[in-house]
Order: sequence, then structure tokens, then C-alpha cells
Amino acid sequence: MAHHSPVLAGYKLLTSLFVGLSAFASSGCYHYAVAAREPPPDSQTVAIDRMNPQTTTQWQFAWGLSAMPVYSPLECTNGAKDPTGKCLHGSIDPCHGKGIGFYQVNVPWYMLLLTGVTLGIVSGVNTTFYCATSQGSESGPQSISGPQ
Amino acid sequence: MPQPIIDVKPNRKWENWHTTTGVGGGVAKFFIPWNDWDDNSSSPAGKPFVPGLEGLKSIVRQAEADGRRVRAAGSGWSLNNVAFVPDYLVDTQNLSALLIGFGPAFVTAAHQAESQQFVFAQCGAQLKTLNNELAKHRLALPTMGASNGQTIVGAMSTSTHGSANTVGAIPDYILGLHVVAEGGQDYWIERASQPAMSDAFVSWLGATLIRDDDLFLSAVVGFGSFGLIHAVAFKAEPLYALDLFVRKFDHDQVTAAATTLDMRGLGLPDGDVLPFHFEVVFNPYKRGAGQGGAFVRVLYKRAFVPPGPSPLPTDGSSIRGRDLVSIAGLFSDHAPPGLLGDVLQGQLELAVQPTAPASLLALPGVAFGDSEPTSGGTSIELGIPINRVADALGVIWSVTDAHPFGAPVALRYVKGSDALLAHTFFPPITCTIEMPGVSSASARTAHQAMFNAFRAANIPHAFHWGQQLPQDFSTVLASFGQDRVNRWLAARRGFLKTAAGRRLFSNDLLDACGLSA
Repeated sequence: MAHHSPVLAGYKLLTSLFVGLSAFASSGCYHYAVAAREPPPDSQTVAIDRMNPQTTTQWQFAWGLSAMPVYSPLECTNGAKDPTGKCLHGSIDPCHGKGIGFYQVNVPWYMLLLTGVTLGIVSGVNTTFYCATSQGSESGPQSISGPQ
Repeated sequence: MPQPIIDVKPNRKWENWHTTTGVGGGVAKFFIPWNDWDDNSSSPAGKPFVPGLEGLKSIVRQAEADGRRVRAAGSGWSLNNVAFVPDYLVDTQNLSALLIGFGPAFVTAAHQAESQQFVFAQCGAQLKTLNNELAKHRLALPTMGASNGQTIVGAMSTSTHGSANTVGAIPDYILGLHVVAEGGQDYWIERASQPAMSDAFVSWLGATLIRDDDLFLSAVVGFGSFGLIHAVAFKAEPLYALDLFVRKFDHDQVTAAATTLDMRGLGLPDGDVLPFHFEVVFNPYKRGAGQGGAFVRVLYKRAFVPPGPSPLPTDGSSIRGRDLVSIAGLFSDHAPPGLLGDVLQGQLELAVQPTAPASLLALPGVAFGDSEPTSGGTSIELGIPINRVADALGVIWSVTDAHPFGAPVALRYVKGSDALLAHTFFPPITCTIEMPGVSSASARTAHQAMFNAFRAANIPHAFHWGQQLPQDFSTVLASFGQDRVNRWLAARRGFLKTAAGRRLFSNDLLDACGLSA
């Protein structure tokens, strides 16, 4: 029957703990979200384009003393650009005027680590927004001769 | 000439909402059409959908020219690859125009008194949008699924259902389909035996009219195989409220009700009357007396009385009505051996929270809420004739005993569908048995064991098209029968007349099921 020394047992326990924590940290991260709602009577959370999340990483420096980062992208209409990168048919906001319906902030473990290692000088989060999709409703045609 | 705005994202990775293992992948081109023109001009008066419609036509023509297959993905609710194709995939969610209320001339004579209840919904309109907009008009959907983020066309195309034993599933109240098919040509398809929209409507829409029962009953649960469905029409109901009552029981206390729909002995608020929505959620690992392993959830339809049910909490902390996939998929499968039943029971206590002795009144859109992403949610669901539910439960318990996996067993009851390949086709009422959980090795093993066990048990059954299912032609034939399958194939071949057209709107799942040729 094999006997293990207390040192070896402690080493194994620490190794197991480290592996467990690493596995947990690699799969998890802090995340927060805000969902907009429709007006009454239903007051549902607004419908969003779930298939088109728009994610970016936003950075802060010097313990938040730098200017507040505001991410507000524009896209070229139909993606049409000239060779110099100028939009051929104008630009448009990614939600085409429908606004953001769902906004999420993720703080991955490696960002927490970076913040710790740099003593807070460099900090970042991943932000994701989903565009609202509803365009309201209107009446269908009411008469063949009238406005259709 | 203005062009419709279509965002095109080449070489895009696509995954479904629940990021189910093995679902999705790389897409050659991901199209996002909008109801906007590139010169900012307006749509024709009363037709806010025209740019989106033109966008879909353009995408179909482009796919044909490039020799690519094309499909629409909706909200990505399906837990398999039924919506997915690696060629050209269309995100329809921004095509959400809604027209509510039509003049009598735009519907057939049988419907003229209720023409203001008619709705023309563009494909990307989500059920929550429909609930909200209809409620403003004091109208409501006749029924919906267990959550409200699906698009109307995505939910219809896979026969999404609640437990409306007098209504059926979503496709069962759809009256007409506006489909963009080969060459970008658009068609209005409805039943010949029950036409709903008038010739004036089809003329106003500018589509080609086809009235054909088999084509309609095939395309309405066609899982994207008949073309890109641009819009649907249906008749909404006067707004109602739903009264939710949930009580916990032991298995043997609800088995009779679950297998016969005899409500006696359940102590429900309306006595022995079969509720509008009756549902039983079993914990397969808590089947003993005193273990409380069965949850009965019923919804009664109540008249809407302004201003409506009491408002939602205003602190933003509570979004009611999460579906079972959102809850059950999170942790149960990772429970230590022997604790699976306890962990699942804890989740069910949260997901199907008892209200008894009280009940909870809410509008339909609030009673069924969001489906939160689960990082790997999956599910399996079978439609079973109501008279074979007891046998089916026996088969399921034998599989869950041999192959434990983290999933409850939820039974709902849906009026039998006329749609040819709806898994809810068993008359008069189909019992749907769903097992939502997390996509794990143990779940996949159990799913396969479930497929084998039902095949061997000689119980008529059909699998939900948007969940895990055996993908082969023999299963399709065994599920729906030769006649239904032949009629579905014939309708598709009659509509998409060329082999190239049928390939255009197919995908790997359709190929595997022998339905694409």
C-alpha cells in the first residue's frame, strides 16, 4: 500500500484547486445588461436583432481619469466605399434609426487580470449592443379606390 | 432608381441564439436587408415593407446567379441546423413591418365582418413586437410558443406551439403566405378551400396568386424550403388576459390528467374544465410519492378589462416567463452523480414557480417572456397521439433511468394540425413531449437512446423540426406516413419546378431527411 507524504498531498490539493479555479475563470466573466422596454400596455422588452450583435472593446486608462470613451459607430450605406474608404452612398447608423434595444457589458477574466497587473492604469471591457427591430404598425389599405 | 439597403457581411460565423453545439458555422455571405432605400426616399404610401421585399428578391437572384443556396434565419431560435446554410444566410429580423386592420374589400366575403382583425406581418416581426402592437389595437395573437423572441415566420415554419388545445400551433392560424421564390418572383399562397384574402389584396400586394390546399399546407410548415417567406396574414383575436396557476404535485397525482386530459382531482381554479393551456412538467428523477416531481401549469383565458392586469414591477429586476430552455440548460447536467434529480428539482422550483393558491393575471405578451441564451441549450421534442401518452412516458422513464441527463419532461397539448409535416398533426389533440437541457455528451447519448427507444416501441410519433431529431428519410416516412410525405414533396416540386430551384432553397438537414430533391 502506497503512503503519500503530507507535502505531496498538499501539493496535489493545491494543484487541483488551481486547475479548478483556472477552468472556472476561463469560462466565466462578469456581465451586465440593460434591456429597453416597449410602451404600455404590454411593456415587453423591445425586440432586438439577435443575429447581429455589435461588439467592441472599450478601454480606460489612468484609473478612469482619461476622457469617458463613447462608442458611436457609423457604417457606409450598403457597405459601398471608394478605394480611399469614403462612403459612396452616405453613411448610416448600425441600427438604421431604430435605436439600441439591448446593451451588454462583459468583463472577461483577462481584463480583470490586466487591470490588476497594471494597478488600474489600463482597464477594459467588452461591450455589445443589439439593435431594436420594431418599426411599429400602421393600418392596412381600407378601400380600393382610396389611399392604399 | 433607389436600391434596397442590404448589409452584407462576408465570411461571417453564424450561431443560433442558444449556441447549441454543432449548430451553425461559417457563412459565405450574411445578408441583413432593411425596409429602407439607399437614397433615403420613402416607401410607397401604406407599403412600408417594399424595400425589404425588393431586398429579398435581390438576394434570391444573387444566390441563383452565384450558384449558392439561400435560407432565412429568423431569430435563431431553432436548436438544430434547420435554418442554417453555409452559403447565403438572411437575417430577416429588421423586416418587421406590420399592417393591422384591412378594409372589407381586401378579405374574402366570409371574413368581411372581421377584416379589422386581419394582420399582415413581415417575416422578421417578432412575437413580442406583434404582442405589443396588437395590444395597442386591443388585439392579441391566438396563441404563441413558450417564449416571445421568435420571428413569426420562423416560429410558423417549424410549427412552434404553446399548449392551446383548441387553437393549435402557430401555423394553424396563418391564413396566407407571401413567398419569394425562383427568379425573385413573389407569390401569395393560401388555401383553395378556405381563401382568406381577396383578389384586390393580391393585386394591391403585386404578387401572383396561388390558391392550393396542399401547397399551403406544405409551405406553412416548410422550414424555409419553399423560398424566402416575406410575410404572412392571420386574423388576430380581441385582446384577452391569461390567468396563470401553477401547482406542484407528485407524479402519480397528475398521471391521469396528463394521459387523458381529465382535470378531476387537480383542484384547479376553474374546477374540472380543461384550461386554455394545460401543461405538466415532470422531473424524471423524482417520481416517488412525496417528492413533488410534477408541476402543473395552466392558463385560463380571461376577458381584457381596461386598463388591464396589474403592472409589471418597476424596479427592472424581474422579467417573467422565462422558458424552460433558459433555466434547465444551465447547470443540471453538471450535477454530481446522484444529485441530478435534486439539482433539476431546484431549477424547476424556479422555472415553474408554484402560484397556488393564488393565480397571476397578465397579458399574453407578458405571460410568455424572453428566452435567455444558455451557452449550449438543446432540446428534443416529440408529438404523440393523446391516447399513447402513457406508453410514451414509460419509454421516456426507461431511457432517463438508463441514461440520466439534465432535462425535465414537459407535456403540452395542441390541437391537431392540418399542416402536412407539422409534428403536431395527430388528431384531435397532439401531446408534445419536450426535454430541454444543456448540449452535453450525456444529453446526446440520451437523445440517441430516445430515438432508438421510440423507433422500437411502435408508438406513433414525430419530431419537432427545430430541435434534435433523427435526420433520415425513413424516420420522416415513419413519422408522417407515405401520403403526407408524398403530398409535401409533390407540392414542393410543383411550386419549385426546377431541380436548381429546389436546391436553391434546401440545406444539409433537408438533404439528410430526403426532402430536398
